[in-house]
Amino acid sequence: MTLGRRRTIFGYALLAPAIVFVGVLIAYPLVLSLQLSVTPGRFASLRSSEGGFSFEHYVTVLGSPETWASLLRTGIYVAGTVIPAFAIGLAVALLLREAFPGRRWLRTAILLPWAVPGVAASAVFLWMFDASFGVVNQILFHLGLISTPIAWYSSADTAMFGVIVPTAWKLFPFFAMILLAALQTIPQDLYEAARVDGAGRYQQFAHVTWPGVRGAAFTALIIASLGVYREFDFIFPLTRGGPNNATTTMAIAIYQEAFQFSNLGFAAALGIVSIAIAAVFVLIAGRDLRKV
Amino acid sequence: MTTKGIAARSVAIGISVAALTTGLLSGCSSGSGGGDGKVVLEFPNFQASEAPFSVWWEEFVAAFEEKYPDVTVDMSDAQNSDRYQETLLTRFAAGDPPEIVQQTTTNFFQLAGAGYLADVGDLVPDSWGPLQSTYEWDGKTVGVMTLASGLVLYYNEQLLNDAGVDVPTTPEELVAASQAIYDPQNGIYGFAGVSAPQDPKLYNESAMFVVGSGGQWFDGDTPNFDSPEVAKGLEFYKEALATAPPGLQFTQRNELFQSGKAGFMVENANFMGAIQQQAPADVKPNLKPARVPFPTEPGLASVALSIPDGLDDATLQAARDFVSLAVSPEWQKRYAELIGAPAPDPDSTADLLTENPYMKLFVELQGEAVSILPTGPEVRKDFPIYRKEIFDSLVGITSGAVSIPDALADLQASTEAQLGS
Repeated sequence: MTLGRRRTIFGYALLAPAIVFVGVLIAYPLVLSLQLSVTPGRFASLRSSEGGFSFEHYVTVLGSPETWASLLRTGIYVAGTVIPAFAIGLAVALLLREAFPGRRWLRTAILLPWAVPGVAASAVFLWMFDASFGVVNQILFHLGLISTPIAWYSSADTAMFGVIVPTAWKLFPFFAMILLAALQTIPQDLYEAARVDGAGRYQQFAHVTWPGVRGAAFTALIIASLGVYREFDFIFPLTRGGPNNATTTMAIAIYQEAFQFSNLGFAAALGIVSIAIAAVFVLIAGRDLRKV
Repeated sequence: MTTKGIAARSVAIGISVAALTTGLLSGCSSGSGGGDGKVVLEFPNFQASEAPFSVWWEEFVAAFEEKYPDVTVDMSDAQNSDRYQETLLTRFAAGDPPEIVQQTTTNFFQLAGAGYLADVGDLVPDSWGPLQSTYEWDGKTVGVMTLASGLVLYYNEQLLNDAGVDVPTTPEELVAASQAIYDPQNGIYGFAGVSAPQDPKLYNESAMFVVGSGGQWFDGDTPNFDSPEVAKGLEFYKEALATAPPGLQFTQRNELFQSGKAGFMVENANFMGAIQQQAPADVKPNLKPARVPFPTEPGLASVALSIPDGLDDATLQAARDFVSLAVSPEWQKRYAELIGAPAPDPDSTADLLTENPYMKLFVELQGEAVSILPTGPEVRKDFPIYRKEIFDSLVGITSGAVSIPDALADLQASTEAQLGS
């Protein structure tokens, strides 16, 4: 055996434990999901010796209007959450970059929403948006914006807004921290040069700040969008996907099909389609990211 | 050490780790044979920490193991029954169900429809109550009910006296009395009903009013949402629920009533035991049970034991012995003594009728109970889907977003389309 071949074997041997663990933790569940998704029948079995092979679940998933409705709701939920969370996060990052008393304390405090478990935050927002006793309705009453209480989580018209708000609240610190880190890498010389050239605040932001954080911002947007895309912690405790499916995103639909309707094969197929959509998104977004 | 030696050792380590991982994973699956040759019955139990049921189960399992020394019962606390049903579903799909299956009605119809449950019809005593029919599927009996009750109206005598109303005997009187008691400024409510749009119990409580009013969501496999009884039941339900605090969840509902802040609540007979254990001493004497004020007595078989299909002979026999002992008169009687409510076998309560002042009422209600669950095979097969549709409509109705006639018309049209009626 040549030395080069021995080194190759040696390298793979060192990698073997990692490959085994990755295989067990990532590939095995994925293979099982794939297997479930192509096992015919409603109550698909994970036992490989049973079932047979069929694409019937994929045909049903792709042909169901509810799949596309769930995808549309997911898009609204992702965009409705990520865009305001990003805007707030950017504003907070710009604020926290400035020197002022208590800045260190505030930088720590701003992270708190991100550290709160989604289910715990949901309980708080459930009360804040409560129709009779919630502080949100009370404020709107006092401002004269409403005359009758709004049942935020009971109406299909307002439920999506009611789940977007807590999700954005939890997400904005993530953007703030990523963008703050990026902002701190921009040399002050660039701002001084821009000011010497007569650039105003907007021009400084457009030509110095944004180019400096753009790469980090795109990366954070992709990561956050994927996180919100599969979000479950807020929607399920707040609305369970209702009323009338108004907040049934892909993640909720998969859960409902699997554990409420016992439709495991369909749920697995929906999960695979969901992963494929996320993969396409990452590929497209990644291509744009490489251009940044 | 040479490169060759290092490579050989690394390969060996890699293979060992892979083998160890595989071994650990395979060790995770349960087996029915113990290391000492005993048959092991795995039994996840969501009542294992819920007194007084937990006391009965501990006593029963100890007695079973004493009677059958070659069998060990591995009883574990499955805690939340809803979450456990999800675990159970996955375990059946993976071909690794526990040997003793305790289940609610959440997934029962799906597990039965998939042929995952063994026929235990010969283990059900003839004296068993009428709600046992819930667990019949395709000509077989695939579950033995262990918790079944006619629903009971619980009332707070003090609040009724303060409001100058009597114990209601009709739905109209229940609504009127709830409204008379309702005083939210002082934290007093009329009917303690689940009003949180996230709580699945909303379905059961509305079904109770519908069945109580003589209706059913489905007549066999035919949608029945356009019947006057269903509409009437929902009207009563909505009016009664208007006297409950908004956003009330199941556990909060129980606490509200037990703390003496609500006039009425409807629950099964076992709730009397919870009142005795948990209500404050100054409130407890005021909390009393009565017949629900409906023409029809609604009821529910809510927990059952099943045995998975396909067990080996020794394990199957042990599992059947387990169920058989659980339904024996001796243990049914002990159940009624501990729980303070009728066991599924009504004969078991004969000695307790004089000891427990409410037992006679509870036994009567259990015997009269009409199940709030559907009976049509096609509807039962897709029950979770229909339940969700009804639940969504209920959220709209209780929030005032949709009128009852509109919601029922939509439900009738959509279920007719699905069932091809």
